[in-house]
Amino acid sequence: MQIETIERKAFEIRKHIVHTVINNGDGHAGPSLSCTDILATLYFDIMDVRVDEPKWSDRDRFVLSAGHKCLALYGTLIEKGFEKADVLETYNQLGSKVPGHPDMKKFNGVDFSSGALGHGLPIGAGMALNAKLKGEKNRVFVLMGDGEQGEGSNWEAAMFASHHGLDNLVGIIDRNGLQINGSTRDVLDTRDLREKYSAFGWSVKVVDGHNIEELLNTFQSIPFQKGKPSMVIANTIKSKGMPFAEGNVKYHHWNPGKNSQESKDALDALERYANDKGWIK
Amino acid sequence: MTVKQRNPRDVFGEVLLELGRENDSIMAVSCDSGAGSGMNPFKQALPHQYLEVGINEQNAIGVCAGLAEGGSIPVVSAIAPFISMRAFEQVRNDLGYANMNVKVIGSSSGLSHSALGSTHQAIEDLTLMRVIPNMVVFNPGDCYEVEMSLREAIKHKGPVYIRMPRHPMAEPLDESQRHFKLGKGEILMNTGDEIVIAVSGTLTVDGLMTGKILDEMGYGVKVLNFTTVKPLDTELLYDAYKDAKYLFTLEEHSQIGGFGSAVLEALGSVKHGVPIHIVGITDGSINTGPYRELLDAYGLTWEKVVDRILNVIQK
Repeated sequence: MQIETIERKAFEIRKHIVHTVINNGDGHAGPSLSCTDILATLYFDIMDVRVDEPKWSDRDRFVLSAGHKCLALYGTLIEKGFEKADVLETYNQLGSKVPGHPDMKKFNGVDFSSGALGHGLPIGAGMALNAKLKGEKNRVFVLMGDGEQGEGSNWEAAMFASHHGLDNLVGIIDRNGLQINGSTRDVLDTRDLREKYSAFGWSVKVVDGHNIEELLNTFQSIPFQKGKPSMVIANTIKSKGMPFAEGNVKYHHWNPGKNSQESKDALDALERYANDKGWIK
Repeated sequence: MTVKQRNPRDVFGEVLLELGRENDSIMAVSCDSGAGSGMNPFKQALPHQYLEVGINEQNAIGVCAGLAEGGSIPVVSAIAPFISMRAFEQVRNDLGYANMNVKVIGSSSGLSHSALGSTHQAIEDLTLMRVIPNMVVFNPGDCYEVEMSLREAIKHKGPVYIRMPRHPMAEPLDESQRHFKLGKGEILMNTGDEIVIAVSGTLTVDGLMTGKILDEMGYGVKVLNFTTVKPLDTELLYDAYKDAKYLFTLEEHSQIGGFGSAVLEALGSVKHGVPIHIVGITDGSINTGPYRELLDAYGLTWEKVVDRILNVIQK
């Protein structure tokens, strides 16, 4: 039951992403769609947050280090009830509360502003250390891209987090294998991220980032090892949910236009999925 | 003028320890900063409020942002070029735009590490820190200003950069005559309107000496001191400038984008046909040597500044 609830939330989040890009133009559709199931699992089962008290000091925190995936975060926070869905109608407009990278000063539920890659893990490590020092039980989740692993600051933070035994810190790599200029293997091969983070003193698990049951089981077993930060390497598919775009780097940005064939295909795919699930009566 | 042999970093360390004892939210964050940061007494006395990050300034700023998000007040110190330049984007995004309550200490700034070479000198940090939104920028020149900058920084909620000097400095006035306030400058001497010398940071005493010599030569001189570079005390500046015949700014920093530039920005729209001369380090200066000798080679000691001013006004 819980799995289906999360799947439905993930579906609603995907609808927000697709509709927003179709209606308001250019957005990072592909990367947002690849991390959607992870976000739905975190916010609708794992994380302890309060919608009526977004800044509650003991809440679990989420830092979207790969800030360009913000449409997934906006959709998730809207589904959770932090903001109303119509805020997405202002996407790409002057003074919007939903800019192309999330801003903690503008959108309830965003725990830290992000956008420049390689910033999230150090910030998350600071949050996790702060909780430890204060004896608080909250956890900090940081979602990164796999292309983002090229930023050296991640590895500074990786060393720091294990040195300080931050087992309340959870890194997540949305490994969709693609970045703007092509496959991550071709642009700058990260090689074996499990080995790398293990060598940096993290406890690492590799999961299917679209399998809710697997994601649930993984996140429920945090920390994987007492005294070590946890890293979840989630194998995902870029543009998951838009079959014509899945695994295609062209859809890192997507600007289909309101009445284009691609828009129609994307909406049809969503409807088909819901039909197959028996959600449309 | 009072001459004390106190070292600025020792004063910084003593005051930080006092403030840390009063407020357990304050955390001293070291980037393998060693004795140069002045934080060793803090480490000894309050180890649970002390964090060693190691040599990784980008991570250090991110960690401080995360600590501040949870209510801590991190005071992070590293040699000025590393913390202000290596980690610039982290300081801009994660402290400035995010308005995090973190105090960034650029230690041994300016030409402090005069003999170590340009990698360890910081003559561009004011330019960089000044442009960051929400950032308050202090440029203390002596131990009194170091102490007061730190106290004000902790009182202020938001990001602050303190550009720390390294060498013991004379103080231009007795402390009883000084009234430090964030965003306020002070008048060090006032014998007339003709020449205004606006100084910030370590060259305060050189500015005052210059003023005294010019005064003895018969010129009317005002010497103004600005520890806060941002926000700048534009009122004090304007009041002096509107009656002046010459305005000279003086700083141990690049002529590009530093205190002098801030003065130009503040007075640029004032209708008053008097030139403003920025006395600082010329673009492209990459020299090394003993501290005062290097200042002298750059024309920034009082002896050289007097000559430079006379060259302008006697033309």
